[in-house]
Amino acid sequence: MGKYIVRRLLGAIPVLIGLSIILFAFVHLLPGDPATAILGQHATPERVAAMRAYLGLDLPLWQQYLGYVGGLLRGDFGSSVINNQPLLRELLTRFPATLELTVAAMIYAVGVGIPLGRFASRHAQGWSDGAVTVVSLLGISIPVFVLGLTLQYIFAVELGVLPAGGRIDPRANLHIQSNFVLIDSLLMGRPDLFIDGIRHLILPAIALGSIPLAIITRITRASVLDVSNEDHVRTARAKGLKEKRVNSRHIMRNAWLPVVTVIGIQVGGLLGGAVITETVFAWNGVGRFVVEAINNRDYLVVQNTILIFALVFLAVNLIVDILYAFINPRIRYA
Amino acid sequence: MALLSVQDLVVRFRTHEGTIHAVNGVTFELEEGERLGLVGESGCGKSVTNLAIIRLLPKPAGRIEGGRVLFEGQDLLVLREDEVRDIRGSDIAMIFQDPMTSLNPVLTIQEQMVETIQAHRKVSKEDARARAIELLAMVGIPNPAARLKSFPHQFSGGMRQRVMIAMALALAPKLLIADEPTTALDVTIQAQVLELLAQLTTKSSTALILITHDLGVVAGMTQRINVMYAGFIVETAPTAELFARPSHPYSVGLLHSIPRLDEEGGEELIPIEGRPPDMRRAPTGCPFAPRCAWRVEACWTNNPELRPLTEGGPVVMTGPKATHRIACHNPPTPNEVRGGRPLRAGFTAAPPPAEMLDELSLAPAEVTADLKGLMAGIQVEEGPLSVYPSAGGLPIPPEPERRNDGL
Amino acid sequence: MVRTRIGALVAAAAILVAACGGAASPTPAPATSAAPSTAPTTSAAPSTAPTTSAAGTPKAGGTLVVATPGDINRTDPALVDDATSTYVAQQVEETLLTLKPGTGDVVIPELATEWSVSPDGLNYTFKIRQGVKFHDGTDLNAAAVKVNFDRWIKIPKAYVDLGYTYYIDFVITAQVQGVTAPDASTVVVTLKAPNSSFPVQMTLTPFAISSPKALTDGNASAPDFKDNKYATGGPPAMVGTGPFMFKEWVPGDHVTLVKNPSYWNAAAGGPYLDQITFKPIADATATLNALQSGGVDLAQTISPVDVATVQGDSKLASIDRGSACNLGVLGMNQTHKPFDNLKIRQAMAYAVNRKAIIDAFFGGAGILASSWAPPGTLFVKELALPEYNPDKAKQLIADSGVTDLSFDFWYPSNVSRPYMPDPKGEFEAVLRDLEAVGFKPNPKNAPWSPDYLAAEESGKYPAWLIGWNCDYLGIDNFLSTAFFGYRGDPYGPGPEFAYKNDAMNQAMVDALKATDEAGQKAGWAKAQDLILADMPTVPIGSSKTPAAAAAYVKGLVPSPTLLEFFQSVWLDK
Repeated sequence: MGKYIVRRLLGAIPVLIGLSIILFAFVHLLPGDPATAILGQHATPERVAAMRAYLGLDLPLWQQYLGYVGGLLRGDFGSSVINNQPLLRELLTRFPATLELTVAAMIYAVGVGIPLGRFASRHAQGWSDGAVTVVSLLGISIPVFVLGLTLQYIFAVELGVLPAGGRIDPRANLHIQSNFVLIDSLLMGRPDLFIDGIRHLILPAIALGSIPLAIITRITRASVLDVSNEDHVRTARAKGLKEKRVNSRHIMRNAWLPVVTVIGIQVGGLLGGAVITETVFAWNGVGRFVVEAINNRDYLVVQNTILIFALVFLAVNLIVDILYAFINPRIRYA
Repeated sequence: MALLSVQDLVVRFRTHEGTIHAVNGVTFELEEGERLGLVGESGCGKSVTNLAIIRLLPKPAGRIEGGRVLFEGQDLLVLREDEVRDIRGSDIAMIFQDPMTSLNPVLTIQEQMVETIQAHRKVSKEDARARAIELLAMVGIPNPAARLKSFPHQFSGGMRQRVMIAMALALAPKLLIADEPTTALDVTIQAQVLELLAQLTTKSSTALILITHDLGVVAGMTQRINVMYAGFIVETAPTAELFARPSHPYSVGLLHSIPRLDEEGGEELIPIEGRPPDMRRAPTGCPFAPRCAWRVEACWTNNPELRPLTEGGPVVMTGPKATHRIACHNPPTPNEVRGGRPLRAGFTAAPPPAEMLDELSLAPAEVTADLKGLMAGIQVEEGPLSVYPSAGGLPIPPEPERRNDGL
Repeated sequence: MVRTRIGALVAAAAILVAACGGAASPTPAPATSAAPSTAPTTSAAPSTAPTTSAAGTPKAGGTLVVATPGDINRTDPALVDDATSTYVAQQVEETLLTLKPGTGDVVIPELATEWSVSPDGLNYTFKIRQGVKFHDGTDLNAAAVKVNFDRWIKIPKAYVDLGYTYYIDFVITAQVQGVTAPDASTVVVTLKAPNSSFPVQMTLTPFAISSPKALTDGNASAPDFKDNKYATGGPPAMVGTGPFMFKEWVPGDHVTLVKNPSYWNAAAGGPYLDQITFKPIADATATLNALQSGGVDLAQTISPVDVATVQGDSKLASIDRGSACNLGVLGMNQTHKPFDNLKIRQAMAYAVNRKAIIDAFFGGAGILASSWAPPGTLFVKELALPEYNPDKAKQLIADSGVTDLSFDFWYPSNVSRPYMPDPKGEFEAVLRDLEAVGFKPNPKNAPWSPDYLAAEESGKYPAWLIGWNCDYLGIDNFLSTAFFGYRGDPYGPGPEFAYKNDAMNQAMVDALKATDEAGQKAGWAKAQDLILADMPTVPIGSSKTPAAAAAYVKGLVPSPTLLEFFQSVWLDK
């Protein structure tokens, strides 16, 4: 197992190198000069030159790349052009918000998707299965921002039962300490704010979780159907096991494998979806931070935030794969 | 009273493509400790018959539409689900074809054996584990206590089938149904596993239904054989009798399509022409007629019943004296049996009646493709009713004593 | 000429036009208590009615939640130039001079009680208001003001390189020679050259006066910006004299201000609100949803397409800002034929149905141009711009003797600007109008940035659509800075329009040099008349920035440049 993890970690290195090159090239191949873009058209040549020096654009490309990678290796992810703050710190202050949102979205997607998929598989080919399929197709095909705005309109504007955006009632005066609203509110002994935080989470989590929900539902349905038709399930039944045990121990234990893999992949999708969801729901996370950086033409921030996204994605996938190995002895003992 | 009595069993599969007539009124009996072979090409309904007996047909497509299955006098088909569940695995156990896929890959052998025992007996986990070790030792797994912690993929195919056998015998069943238990194994391993099966069932007087497409396997293992074709039993006889006097054209064909080491000189192999019928049609005549060299006009329109080869006298259903019966309008003569083809002067197989030409002209390949597709769709657990004989090992010569000669 | 940076006091890109429909009743008094003003005020001040005010006695208390389209960038007003940062900062820190609430052109005293200019136009003397305290308890006096000016003058180079000092570069570095504080209540600012727009520029939020103690404690002039706490949220940060005090900035999430209980100008009424929370909501529809669901009380900007929804919602009030701070034009370059010909340029002006374009593409709330600066600008003159008249255009073409009427006509893709909400639609409309009178334009387009901007600025396009988002609502910012001021080496017209008229340029220079209102007014009027006669471009129109608030939000005085103060705002609930 240890070897397996080390092998996987080593395997991530070329991926990261490749990604750093792609991101670096992406920013440097963009039409137009970043310095000019940041400063605007009226900037004098001296100002542009100064900005280019600040951004390190005056060096030869290979030196820029080495400097960039060197910085990364030292843990220096650069600073935002807008406020000159270290990017890592900026991200860390926003990360809890994104974590709360993605965890909530994942709880929603997994918590609803797996039972729904199992339900559909039990009624395979029936009308209820068809309904689930249609709903999950809708879930995949409705753009997140449309869904988000629609949810806002229905639940906040029309019904008035949930807030339209933000993480907490702005009139509540919650002094954010850890940036985990849910944790902070409990630490402060304010269950009312905890509930308020949950209420603010519901709509964005549903919007963000809709695509993973649809995918998890479908993969669960397919996986359960697949496993149900496997020989060992027939063996389990032939052994006289109760149907409940056949389902939980023999079908689901195996059906989990592809589902877990898909959940891992969906985490990457969630990071992408968070960019949109956080914008729509005024959610102060890393997703919106990237949007702001793009609007501000803060290329280094964009570049390195995406790199950090990729790191998180790789880490999550590693965790998922370890989990996968844990539930799949064929890998564990390979 | 017979241990098992299957009466007029009818099984159909409802699919989007139509109804599959999988088992069409099968009747047979089995005594305690008796070993019966069920032989036929893949898709002839032999596996479906046995899944129907323990009510494990794939739902919702597979349905038992008629008949009774009396086990120790109790009709299994009318029991509640939980009552059947008590019988499964304890009184009637099954072993399936592919040991690679028949064990749950994510559970240890111990978990799988213990849960079987605990499903039927109120015993502690430790006692169940001790029993499991005993069973593994019994089926010849070395170092059973340690191996109990292993996962299926850590065993070879033969070892896995031994585990399956151990698990099946865990609760000393009265009837063991072994569905192609050795088909997926290497030839040398096949013999070992069969040997083990024979040994254990003999020792415990467990009745055995051995399902196979391989006549060589049943030859050494069983006392009696049912030959199935298209969901019908077309010939039944004690094993030695069947090999000595195969009397249904299909049985004759089966025997002539395998090499026999006991025959002097290289006897010509005669393959059975054509393909199994489209099981979506309810058969009107003899289902084998389109492929039969002996067919007469009646074969096209009238499905013959299973009748004693020699008329007169009581019909014995079970045991070594069981009556040799066939379902045929025009059985081959002993000479023809030896020759594998009709030898009567001027005899030609009757052409199909005009009204059947259409369906017969349907390209067999097309039917095959359709069937495969549709069976894949409903995932019949027996495996698709493939119209091709599934690949098997080399047949072993039919003499019972062959199995002791060191293979 | 067009910076890609978002215009100073004009809202972010998505926001284009406002619909009309404000109530009209007076507001709590502006921030001029007893200040004797020597301000040059103009007669033609189109006063904009307060929108969210209604009859009733203001109530104290409550929290106002304001949606802004973006987060603030920094907490030091001197170092920001975007609409959101200034919108927040102007509630906390005050300037020497300000604009009369609701106007773009009436300069009134704020932290200065009066100001005067020397006859040579070089020395501005400000009398500093006495008895005013900063939020940290320190006193406002001439020395404090001088500290602020000195800080701007000696702003660290790193800040300039980072691009944080747009207004300091533009107003202080380029113009200010030095500052002295001869006594505790007097500050004299010496300019390098006369500039009568200097008082207007002093109303800009970046020139708000901060507490010198806070500037020191917050390391506001740290050579390395990383060490600057004052601009990055503090503490201390944003310590001024205004009706609200900075409490906290959670980047990306919110800025919170609280009431200043000892505000010097409480006599004018307010502040009433206990707290203001600014929440960035980037998406326009999400902003509307937040407003409708009560999550926010006021949206600094809404999408023009949502104005109708707001007007149809009895719980909301739409806010009309009266005027705008941008201008779209049909550009022509006189080095390209046939635009060297005056009659052709005039024919272009008569050919284009400007009103139809405003109606069709400015969301019904555009303002038809009447000069080369929007209405409400100080010293803007209502000109007799050509009315749509195709026959007149044909006649002018015939008179011009020009026979080759073909030219490349450009519009930008991938962009929407307040003065040009739908470039392609507008382009097609103009194209049809031009063809209708016999012109032979070749339709061309290029991506806005950098291709289009670079090409048009260097004079490569014969005819094209372009415009200007103001830095402030000053006539010089449009006529000189944006369009026709001479600059460069050799001193002369820019290449963009290649419009050369030394008399016009001299009129602008004279206006900037004039120390009296009459001289300034005469100079700008002359410049506008000359431009009209030369018709170097065809001004089309401006678009207002719409806003909306819950109906219970009272007392807000809308401003065309978003210079809106929440001192007068109260909640009627």
